[in-house]
Order: sequence, then C-alpha cells, then structure tokens
Amino acid sequence: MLSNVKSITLLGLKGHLISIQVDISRGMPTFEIVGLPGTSIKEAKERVKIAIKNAGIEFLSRKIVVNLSPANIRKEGSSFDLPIAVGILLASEKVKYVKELFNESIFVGELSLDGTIEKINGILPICIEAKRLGIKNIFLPVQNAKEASIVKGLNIIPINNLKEIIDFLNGNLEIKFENNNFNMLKGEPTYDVDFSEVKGQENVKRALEIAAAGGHNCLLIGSPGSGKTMLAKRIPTILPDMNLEEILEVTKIYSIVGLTSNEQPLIETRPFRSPHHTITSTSLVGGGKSPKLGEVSLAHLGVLFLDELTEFNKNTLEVLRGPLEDRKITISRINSAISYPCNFMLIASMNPCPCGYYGSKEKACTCTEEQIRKYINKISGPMLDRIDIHIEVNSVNYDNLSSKVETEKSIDIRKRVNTARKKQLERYKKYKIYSNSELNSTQLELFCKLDEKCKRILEIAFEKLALSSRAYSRILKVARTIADLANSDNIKQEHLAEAIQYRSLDRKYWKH
Amino acid sequence: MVKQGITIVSGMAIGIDSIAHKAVLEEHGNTIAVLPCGLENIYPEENKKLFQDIINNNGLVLSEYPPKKQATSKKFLERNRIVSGLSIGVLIVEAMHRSGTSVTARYAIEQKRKVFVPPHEIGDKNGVGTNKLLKQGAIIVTKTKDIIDNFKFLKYKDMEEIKLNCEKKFKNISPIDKKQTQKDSKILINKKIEVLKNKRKLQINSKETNDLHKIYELIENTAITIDEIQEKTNINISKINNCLFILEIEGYIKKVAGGGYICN
Repeated sequence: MLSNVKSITLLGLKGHLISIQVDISRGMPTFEIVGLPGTSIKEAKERVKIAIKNAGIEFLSRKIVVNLSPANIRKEGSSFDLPIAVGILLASEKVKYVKELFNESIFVGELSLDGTIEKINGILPICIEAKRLGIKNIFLPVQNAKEASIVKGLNIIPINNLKEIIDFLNGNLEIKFENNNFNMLKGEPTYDVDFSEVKGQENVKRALEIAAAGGHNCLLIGSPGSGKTMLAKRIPTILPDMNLEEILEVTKIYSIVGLTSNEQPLIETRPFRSPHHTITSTSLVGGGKSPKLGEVSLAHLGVLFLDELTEFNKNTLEVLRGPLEDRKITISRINSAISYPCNFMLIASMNPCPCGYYGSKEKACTCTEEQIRKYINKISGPMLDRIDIHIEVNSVNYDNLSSKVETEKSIDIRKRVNTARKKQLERYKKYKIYSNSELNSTQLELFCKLDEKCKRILEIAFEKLALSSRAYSRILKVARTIADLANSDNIKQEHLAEAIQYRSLDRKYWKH
Repeated sequence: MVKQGITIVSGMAIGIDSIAHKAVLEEHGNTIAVLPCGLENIYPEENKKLFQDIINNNGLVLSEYPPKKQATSKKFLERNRIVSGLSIGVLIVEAMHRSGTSVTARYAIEQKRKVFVPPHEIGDKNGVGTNKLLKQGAIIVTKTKDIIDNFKFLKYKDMEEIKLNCEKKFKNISPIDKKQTQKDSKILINKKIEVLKNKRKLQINSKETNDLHKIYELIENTAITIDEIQEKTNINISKINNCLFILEIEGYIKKVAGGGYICN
C-alpha cells in the first residue's frame, strides 16, 4: 500500500515542504530511500527498522521504497526518521489513516534504537514555514516543544517515543500541550559581564560606546594584558536592545545549529562570537558540501570578535571583506545557493608590534622599525578600509584597578546608545539601513553635511596630522554618530575633532 | 652643535640620523649625508623628501656606489666608515650590544677619530654598547661644550654670543628693513631660548580655554595617556579628545605611539 506523510526540511534558513512517500509491495525484502538523501538519511534505515521493532511492531519483510519528494532537493539531517517510520507504519496499516489529520500535519524527529524521539535542530524555522504553508499540527520531539511554541497558532504535539505516536494516531491516547501562553520574553536582557567591572579605560569605553551607537567596526590596539579582550567581551552589553524581529532572526540561526535549549528557547542577548585565530575560512564564513553556517552568521546582529587579528591567516581575513560589505553571505554549490544573514559588528584586537610593547610604558619594545611595519602591514588596506574606529588601549595601573570608585554600568551606557540608534533609525527610514556605519557615499553627502568651518578644520587636520585619504569617509561616519550621541542634528566642530582622534592607524607614527 | 657652526655628518637612515639632519636644516646649518645606496635609489624611501631638503639647503649627499645600486645591510656598515672618516669626532648617542653603531665606533678608533658618548644607566638596553665604549676610553659628554672643548682649534660660543652674532649678521642687511628684522630676530632668538628652557606658552582663544590650559599643563616630555588626563582633571572624555585635537592642530602637542601625548 502507498502512504504519504509530510515533513519540512531546511535549506539555509528557509524551510521546504517535503512529502515522504512510502510504498510496500511484494518482492525481495529490501528497504530503499530515494530522492537525494544525504548520508544521515541513508543511515535512517537501520534506526527506523530497529525502532519499529522495539516499539513492539513487526517490521515487514517486504519490498519497501521510500521517496522524498521533491526529489531534486538534497536533504540532510536526522529529522526524517520520524516521518519515515510513520509512513511505513501507515503503509503497513499499523496505524489508522485519517485523511484530514495527515494532510494538515507535519512530522519531524530523530529516532533512537529504543524508539525514543530525540531533539532536532532548526525547529523554529521549520515551524515558521509550517505556519506559512497553513499546516495545523506539528508532531515533534518533546525537547523541541517549547521552542516551537514561539510560533503562535500551531497545534504542537510533543512526542516522547514511537509507541506514543502509534497510540495517538490510533486514538488510544490523548496528548495535550498547554505551554502555549508562557511568557517567553524576559524583557531586559541579562548579561554575565558588565562594563562597570572595567576600571579606568574611560577613553576606550567612550570609543566603544560610539562604535555601539553607530554599528562601527572597531580595532583595539594595545600591549598584552592591557584589557582588550575584557573590553571586547562587554560590548554586547551596551549594544542597542533587540526588537522581537531581531530576536527571532537570531533564534532561527541558533536553532539551526542546535544552540537553543528548552530552558532558553529565545536568544534575547546579542551574540558574541570569538573564534580562535586558527579558524579556517570555511568555518568563518560558512560552507562545506552541504553549506553550513559560519561564525559570521552566528554573530548576526551581534559582535564578531577577532582576537590577535594579525595572527589570523591572511586569506581567512580577506574572505571577510564581502560579508562585511554585503551583510549577508551566499554560498553556492552545484545543487543549491544558500544565503545566510551576517550583519555583525567586527571588533578586532591586535598588538602594536611583534613583541607587543611598542609605545608601552611598562616595557621597552625590542622590535625594529622594519618588523613593526611588516607586522602592521599584515592587515590589508581593504580590510582596514572597513574598520571605522582604531583605538589604542593602555594598561591600567594598579591604583586604578584596586580603586573602589563607582564606574558606569552597562545599562546606563546602553540607554544613551539606544537613543542615538533611534535617531538613526528615524533618519534612515526610507533607505533600508539601520545605522551610520552602513551609509554609502551618496547617503554620506546627504546626511553628513559639513559647514565651511568644519570643512576647514578637516582640511587642516589632514594636512597637519598626515592622515591618509581613506580616513575621510570613516571620520564623517563616526562624527555623525558622535553628533547623534550628543543629540545634535548637524555635525559640529567638536564632533569632527573627536572622530579624528579615533583614527590611530592612519597616523604618521605607524607608517614610519 | 649646529649653532656652534659645526657640520653634521650622518647616514640619513631612520631614527637618529634623520633627526640630526632635520635639526641641522631647521637651523640652516651645514650637513653631509652619506648613503648606503646609489643616489637614484634612495633608501629609506620615506627620506626622499629629506634628501631633497638637504640638497636645497646647500647640504651635501655622498655615495660611493653607482647611481642605481640598492642598499644592503653590508653597505650600511661600509657607509659608516665614510661617516666617521669625514668627521673630526663621532658622537654615539645610543648603541645596543653588538649593534651597527658599535662598528662605526670601531672605524672611528681605527681612523684615530675622537669618540664621544653620553652616559647611560647600567640597565639601559640602548646603553650597553655605549657603556662598553666608555670602558674602552671614549670621552664622556653631557653637553655640547664637552665636545667643543676637546678640540683645541674650536672655541665654544655661548648663547649670548650667538645672539650677538646674529645681530651682527643682520647689521649688513639693507637699512630699511634693519630695524624690523632686528626686532624680529631678537624675538625669535628669545623665543627659541625659551623653548629650550621651557615649553611653549599656550595662546589659543577658544571657548574651552580653561580646559585647554588644564590639559596642556599636564602634558610634559614623557607621554601621558588620555585616561591619565581624565583621571587628573575629571573632564569628560569627549571634551578632552576635543581639546587634544585643538592642541595638536595648533602644534603644541604631539601624539606618539601607544596613544600618549607629549609637548612639542
């Protein structure tokens, strides 16, 4: 007999409806899965076979063919175990066929050998697609139920094991999920770290506040132990609050890689990713045979922190140029081209020279000028072009570390950042951009107008401080953010002056 | 030394060499640069401007190599033998253990030139080579006069004398401009002397004058960071940044590596 069960698979962040057709006929006892299954789906054969047997049902010695339709999409993952098992049970008439129920339901879940249904990844995007397609019921693993309930209006049926679903479909068991109305949003996001823990460093904190307010990429330069990493880790705590749309977008991504949990179904804090410098370009931007998410996408709407920027493989860093510009990454394969979003803020840190102490007060630098120049040149020009703020971090002296003076809390800084960001959102409503860092050259002319006095100051600054020409648009963007923080409609002289101070690497003394 | 009318010979490399040449040019003195490369292939490239400046100011640039020859590390050492050979004495300011400068000192000794060395602290890494030279009998100097006094045919002129000389020079200028120029030159010289003794007085009129003064007072010859300024003055960071920018643009202070500021 022939049966037809529905499920949803993910291609990138998007769900696709797949129907699982099972046919059982007389012939040599075989079990075949067709329709471009990946390795993990091919292996489902054994799991399904043994799980059915262990649920107390005889697995028929017939010719069984499973087709995953449409057959031209490559399918991956273990979420097809449950629909395949249900399809076989249906085709062998072990469960009752109710037309309405099967037409309006999808099944997802992985089977273990004893019939237990295990958690799968990507349940949120699956549910979103299900709702869009007008599906009413979704049968899923118990551990995924809470995350699925984020999507309102779906009838969620959490299943513990294969036996349960057989009883349910035969009408011998009732399963009710009443978790639909719990308060998912906690409101204020909570972070483990806070800016008040950083003593001193007021200058860097100010620079990071500006970076957070305008979404500017930022490079921290300082000797070992000056607190670069400590500062960078706290950046998410001052980033503007996420709205529901953003929370869902981040949760979707985290759902796919399996980083969500039942206790914390929604990701309400901005992501902070700090990959080690040995990372390959594939794991940074994503890729592989069946394209996987990279660190840039995991840092979507949050912070990507590259510690010791100069230690990264040069090719790995160059790969970042596209995503930094486009704010999304498209991975093309023969079967499919998948786009992942990656609108992140890049925070990088590096030492000023190979020994780490160039310009430091505590220790003398042992590098030659040639060595320093080579070290700085490891960061390519196009890469530097995409970083708006460079700031030097100095170590804090002991008195400062042990002082009990109250430093500002992240939440207070965040309040200012929020106001500045709101101003930007309001201003760029028509242009589909969210922050000053995204301004292109035409928009720059439109929104960063300078009066004659400011123009002259900029001219003098370029001449006297020997700034490089690429600094020009960066300075304007940062000045725009400083003006927003000061709640000023126009860029004034003092905003420009401060912005110029955040262009360390353009200064002469780095270029010898 | 320039003020004493002495010609400065150096190698036009990055660091003390360039500093020496530039100082001479500022004072309109005489200087000779000996290159480790051909004259059409200046190394280091950054100093091409300095090369032009030296020539434009009646300086001399020498090379023993064909015009297009590239610089190599061996040529640097070879070049140094000409530097010391051209001079009546060699002042070695800093030398690390086994550095190229020590080689110059060796040439100088072989060529029977006098070697002058300012004292360094025992622990100072940049003083290992110079301290060794001192042990070998180099002449210890702490001021210009120490060097001049070592040559019988030279006579030390103190600042007052230089001032008078300047005035004498100006006497030969046409009588119409004389008064004005004399006055200017006097002010100029006084100013220069003042700079030597003390840092420049702040003369900016801006709405933040008060803050500017407070901040400028803190900036000395050793680098001070923005955080330290903030700690001492309690002025808000964006204002400090603003003031530092004004001071820098006006040439009162300078930003150095590590994010610190020094007075100019």
